[in-house]
Amino acid sequence: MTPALEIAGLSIAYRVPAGWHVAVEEVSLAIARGEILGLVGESGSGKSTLGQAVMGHVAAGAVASGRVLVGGTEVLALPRAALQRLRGAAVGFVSQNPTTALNPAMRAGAQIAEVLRRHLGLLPDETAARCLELARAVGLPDPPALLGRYPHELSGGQQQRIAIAMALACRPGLIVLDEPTTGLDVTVQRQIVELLARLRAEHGVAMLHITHDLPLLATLADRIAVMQRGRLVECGPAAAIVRHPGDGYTKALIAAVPDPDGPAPAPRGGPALLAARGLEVVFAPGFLRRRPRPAVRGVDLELGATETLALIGESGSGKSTTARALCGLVARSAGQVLYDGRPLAPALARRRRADLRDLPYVFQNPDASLNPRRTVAEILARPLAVFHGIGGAEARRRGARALAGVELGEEHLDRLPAELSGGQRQRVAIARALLAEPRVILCDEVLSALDVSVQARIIELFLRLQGERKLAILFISHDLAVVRRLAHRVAVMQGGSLVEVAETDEIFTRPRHPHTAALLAAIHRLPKTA
Amino acid sequence: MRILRLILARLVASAFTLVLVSVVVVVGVQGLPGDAAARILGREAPAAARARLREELNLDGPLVGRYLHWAGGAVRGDFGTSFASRLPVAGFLGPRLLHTLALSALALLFYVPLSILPALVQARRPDGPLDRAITVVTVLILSAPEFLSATLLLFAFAVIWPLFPPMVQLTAGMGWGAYLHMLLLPAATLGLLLATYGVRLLRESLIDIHRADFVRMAEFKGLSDRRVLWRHVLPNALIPWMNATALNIAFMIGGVVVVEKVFAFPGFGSALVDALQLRDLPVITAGVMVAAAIFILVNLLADIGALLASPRLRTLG
Repeated sequence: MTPALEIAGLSIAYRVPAGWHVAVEEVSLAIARGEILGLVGESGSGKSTLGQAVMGHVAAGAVASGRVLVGGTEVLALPRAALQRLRGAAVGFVSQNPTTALNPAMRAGAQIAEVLRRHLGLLPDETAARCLELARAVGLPDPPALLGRYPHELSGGQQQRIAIAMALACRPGLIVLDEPTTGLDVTVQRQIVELLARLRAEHGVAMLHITHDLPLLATLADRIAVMQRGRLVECGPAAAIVRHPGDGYTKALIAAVPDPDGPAPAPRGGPALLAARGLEVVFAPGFLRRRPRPAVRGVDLELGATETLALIGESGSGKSTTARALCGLVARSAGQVLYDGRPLAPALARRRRADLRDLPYVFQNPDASLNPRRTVAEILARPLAVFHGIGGAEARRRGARALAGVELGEEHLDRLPAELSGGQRQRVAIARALLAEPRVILCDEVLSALDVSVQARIIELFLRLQGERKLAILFISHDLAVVRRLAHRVAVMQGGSLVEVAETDEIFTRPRHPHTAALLAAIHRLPKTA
Repeated sequence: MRILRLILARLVASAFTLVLVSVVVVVGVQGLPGDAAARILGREAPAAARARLREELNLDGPLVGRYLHWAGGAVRGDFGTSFASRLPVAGFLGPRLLHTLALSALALLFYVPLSILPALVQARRPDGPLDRAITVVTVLILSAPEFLSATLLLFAFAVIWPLFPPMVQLTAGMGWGAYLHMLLLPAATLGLLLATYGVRLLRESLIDIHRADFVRMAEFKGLSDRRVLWRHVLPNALIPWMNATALNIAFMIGGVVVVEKVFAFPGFGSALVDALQLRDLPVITAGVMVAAAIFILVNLLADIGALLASPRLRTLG
């Protein structure tokens, strides 16, 4: 029987100003029918390029050699018309971000129906019946209603279920999943992974699951392939790879994965440096609209001077809004924010300069928070000039030192944000926040875009800084393993309110609120090495 | 029904804007420099005669009273009497507005394909030879003064190759065919000149949308290239184009004076300019109000169009 996918000697190279950049180098692998192969690697390892090549897509300006056989058909050499008949019918694709992968101007059902019409030529009522059947298969509640909605009217998890239904519509033998759960909440992640396992069991569909989440693959995949700088460094049964990695890189990758069961930092006492009392945020109602539900209500929070407090909860639970209200980016509508025992004004513009210096905010998305027209050196010089009156060579020296702190070399000083990778940009944003020499930093999902190895180093940096000088951290994250490693205490939010606050070990071992328990149940664990 | 409520909200806002504009216009027009009575009677007219006329035209009464008087007439379709021609303003402006509306409608027939088709061709292969060629042509047309392009077209199609009359002469009782023939060249000129803005805008948004994840996804679903373009790319790319088009339409009806002057077209825009020169206050007031009303109406239609084309806007409101 022909395998679902066979890749032989695949190389893909891009033309860059300095010559050729080899994104994928001499990769050979195969996926049997009904098998799930996990492809893991850090950013820039070429795993997404490989996934797109399986769809017969090679970016303009790139050259591919070798063979990619989907169910026995060579896709790289296929003429456009034949390729379009194969895509969607023999091989489906699910991309990382379901919000951008669905057409915003088309109803969800129509986007599934068009695949069916295109490849199976079904009549309208057959199409409608099959759409409902697919919606049920991917576990959407109330399919008739949800299929009639536009993508923005669905939650992230529902959007990804629609995308999976689209990929599954024509019963392809293979589905390529490119980081399908990365942008989703942990509980939703868990559900999607369960769905994928069930679909494989029920439909026998083979999957190429691309991700940087090794613990997830350990539970889902039959085999794991590890990529590093375009090369396949290791491939074998999932349990064996995780327990007895043969390659040095795989070992390092596994060692960098934070352990959700490891010890949390010892709790720290001391008076609160930053506190919220009855914090409430209501976004302004629109024209002809009723007053909306508050985004945050009744939040009481305290942060010690040398403490890390993690704020966890699903998206939309009010984590970011709470942090923004503390920092003054969003004006609170009720309640108090106390810093060092004195109240802070709701809005940023009315706060003292020293308070701004002491409370910087690091955003989730560095693309939007770094000025694209300033070099890294200029970006880092800003807080020094504004808050400490330092400029010139001294500012550059300190900038270089701050970069070293986030594991970036001095050569990055003269680059523009666009010349850095996403993870590097995030590290520049963290370095900028630290240069102000703040007493509290508010970190909003700052590690989620980083590879595990870089993530591990930033965690060490935070821990070291807290040891060296007084630094309080409010750490918003959905990665509970990181939270366990970093946080002294954890606050859990749901629907705009705090539902539980306790010391980290307490939360992980004896959660009191059912929502906390649900979040914890969604953690994927690496099996312990024997 | 969220969408109906949103449309209703836009309607209310539009009506409110119109009333506000009327206050500004009526008050502003009264404040124009120059004495209308002197303009009508001539500079040598005795002061007493000027004063009598000023009183007759109610030029010196309190502003509030004059606004209410004007507004009372306007809602009944009575915009007063022209100072210069002594004819009712509505009867004077009405036919010219109709001509301009006919010209604009015809120009729109040129505008839509002339702005969409080149952009589609360009976006197929960005930075290819065809894209560059079209860019050069559009930028040339964009940067040339309107009177120059219009005169060149007039010269080409009315003088060198006399397909159309060089001057628009509209006579009572002329047939539809002859009317259309008269309007065709000015309409094509107007459509072409304005289409260049649309081409530039649509090219950018087509290229943008082509890079969007959901378009890549549509390709990975195996849809035909044609369906990807018509169902996924174009509807999303047309949203900014619709707003620009609304502004262009308002601009056309508000009177592209230059084009009207080149073709000697008896339209709304040139009537307004003449009235300004004569300090014919009732005509100016009515003309500006009509232009404002059209502007608001067309933008309202564009907003509603955008709401229909982009479901996301309906919830973002």
